[in-house]
Amino acid sequence: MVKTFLEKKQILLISRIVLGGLFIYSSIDKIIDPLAFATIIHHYRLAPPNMINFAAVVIPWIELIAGVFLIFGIRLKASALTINLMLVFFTVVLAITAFRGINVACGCFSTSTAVKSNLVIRIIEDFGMLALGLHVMFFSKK
Amino acid sequence: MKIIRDAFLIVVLTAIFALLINALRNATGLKGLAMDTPWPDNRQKAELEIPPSYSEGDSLISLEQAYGMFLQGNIIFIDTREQEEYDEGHIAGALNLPFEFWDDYWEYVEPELDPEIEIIAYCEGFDCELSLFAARELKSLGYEKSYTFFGGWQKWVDAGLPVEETVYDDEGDYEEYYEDEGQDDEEEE
Repeated sequence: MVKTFLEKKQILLISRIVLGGLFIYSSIDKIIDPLAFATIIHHYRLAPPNMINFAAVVIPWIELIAGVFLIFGIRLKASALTINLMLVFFTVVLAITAFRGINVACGCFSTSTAVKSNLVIRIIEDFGMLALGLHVMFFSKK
Repeated sequence: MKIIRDAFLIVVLTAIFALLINALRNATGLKGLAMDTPWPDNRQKAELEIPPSYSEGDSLISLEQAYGMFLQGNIIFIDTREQEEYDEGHIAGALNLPFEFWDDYWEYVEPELDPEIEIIAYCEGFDCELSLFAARELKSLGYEKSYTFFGGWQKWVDAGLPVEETVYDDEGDYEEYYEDEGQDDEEEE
């Protein structure tokens, strides 16, 4: 019964809109100000210095495009996979950073550095989004 | 398999698109990211060095904080070393305010300052605390947002970040020459 519920078109659409919307929303700030996002990546103390500019330019656009594709059902399963892989990647980065005890502005949804993030809460959020992404990936028909 | 191939295509094509958009923004002055922006390697967890005379109330900042503020702009670097050293090379855009000759230089520096703008004082290396004393002095003069970048010049140069030197022209006036050492540093590695 749960399976038929999860396979309902409307339920899948809700997951797509929520998850895609979050990805689109989170990409906007970073696309507008790539320098601020690069600074945040740098503060994670994890990226090889010569990768930072590339990552700061490319990651937000992948978030945006994958989010748009997810909502509009373009290459639906592939965009869900892309988003899921990004979420796994973000979660691993956050976990490593929390483990190292580095206090950093997340850069998850905005490029604001005013508030240091509670990384544990961010990780829980990531798992919530990953649940939506797996839902879309495995229960969509096409 | 088709899904994996499609996801791969989404990522690669988007990456190419993103780089093109960024290049376009750089070309048209729309605040893209300069792809040669240098980033000091900070992957080793570095402790913040504490000056011997440190006391509560002093605001220390790290190299990456200082560089972050440098990139954002709207801050002022104060070089507290003597003018000779300053002329040979200083953080790009820094003002010279030798701590030991404060009164001689203050009249030139003061008009450039603003209590609302963050000020970062630095001097030569870890055996120099003039930046600490200068930041205290600035705070006492009402510039509350004054910070000490301890180990400043040495750290900045080691990281290959932007510096400039003072070049005097024939009339004795001086002009600043900007040179970006960041790129060279990266290529050496």
